[in-house]
Amino acid sequence: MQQLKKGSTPLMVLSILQEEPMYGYQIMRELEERSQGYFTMTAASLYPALHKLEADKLVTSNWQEGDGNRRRKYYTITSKGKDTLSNHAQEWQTFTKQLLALIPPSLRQAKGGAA
Amino acid sequence: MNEIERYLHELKQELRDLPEGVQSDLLAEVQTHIEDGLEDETLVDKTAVQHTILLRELGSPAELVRNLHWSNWKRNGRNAALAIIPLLPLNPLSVAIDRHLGVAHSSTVLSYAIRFIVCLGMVLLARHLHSRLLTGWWLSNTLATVFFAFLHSVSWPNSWLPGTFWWLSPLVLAMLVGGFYGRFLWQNRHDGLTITLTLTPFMWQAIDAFSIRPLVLVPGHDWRQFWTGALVMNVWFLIVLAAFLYPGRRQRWQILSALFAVCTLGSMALWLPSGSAGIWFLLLPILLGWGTELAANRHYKQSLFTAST
Repeated sequence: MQQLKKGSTPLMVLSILQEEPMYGYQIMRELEERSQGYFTMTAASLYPALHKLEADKLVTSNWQEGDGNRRRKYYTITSKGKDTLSNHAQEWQTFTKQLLALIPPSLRQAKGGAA
Repeated sequence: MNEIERYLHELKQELRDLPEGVQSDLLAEVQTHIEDGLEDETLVDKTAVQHTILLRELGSPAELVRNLHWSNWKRNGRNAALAIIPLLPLNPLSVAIDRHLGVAHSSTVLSYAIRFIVCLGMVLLARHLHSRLLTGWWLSNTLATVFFAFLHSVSWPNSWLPGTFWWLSPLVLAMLVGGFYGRFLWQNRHDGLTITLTLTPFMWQAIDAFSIRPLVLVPGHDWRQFWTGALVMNVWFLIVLAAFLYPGRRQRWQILSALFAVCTLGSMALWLPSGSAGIWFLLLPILLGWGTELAANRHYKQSLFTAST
């Protein structure tokens, strides 16, 4: 499950950035809040992931003055990033749909009930 | 120094091998991240507990830099290739020139001239790519080339007579490149791996100049010594390759240790049987590198050896 989460990091970050440009700390909090604490990310995973996305031209960044005159690096999704997000989202939907289809309904319900 | 300052200092140490722009950018980003975390009211209060939560959320500096290196694997791979590949044809080329022209002044000059042009070209390329380690490596190779050209060009002590000034050009070049190299070492005086790695080309040039090349030209030479020299050089190149591929802090110690082992065993295998032990002085750069690393990381020795990097 850990590997699965790690592999989906770019998708998670791009999804968060689709709405508005954000800085690192904000992305981390937003991710935690939206997933109700299920997805958490350390700075050690987030910043390298952001740098990789930038190198792949999926996001751009610029330093801006924010609250309290603090300079923060804001990340903005590019059109290439939006296309990639759309493709990845599609792939993940197919993946989860097919995976769920493999799990017997009785098990799915039991898990759903327990949750 | 509190935990946060310690974290930032450790991160700075870990980031040393990345381009300066990336280093400053990431440090500023993490610093802002910490400030945001300390002011975040949702994170308990401004106490040691909050520091602990914040540090846990940051993850270790080693982990951050390792992830960054993994995401920069193309850059690391390119640097590793640029550090080694241009060197590979140089030795066979020198041997071929010697064989073709015979061991003469012209062949020596030609060999060293080609080597010098390649090394200098690589220095310029490395500077253009903003790679500090790669620049140091090629700068050192350039200096080693002119130094050995100078050694080869003087037939000690007869050529030191007035009128035989042709050896002056490698000497002037050595002084010039040596000046740049000295400045580079001074700028990197807290970085043991860079110091060691960039001093070791003298060792491989020595193996090439005094062990492999002369052997090939002697009829009925001992091939065992040739292959031992070739083996030492190739193992050495693999270690250099590893240094460029995985420039993390923990790996620095492993690389320094591996270099020490190869240089010690190589010296024993190559020079001790012939009774020449002078090459042992080449172990000094490695000891110097270890000492520098220890001094630069003295506050972090504990975490260095216990962290699960």
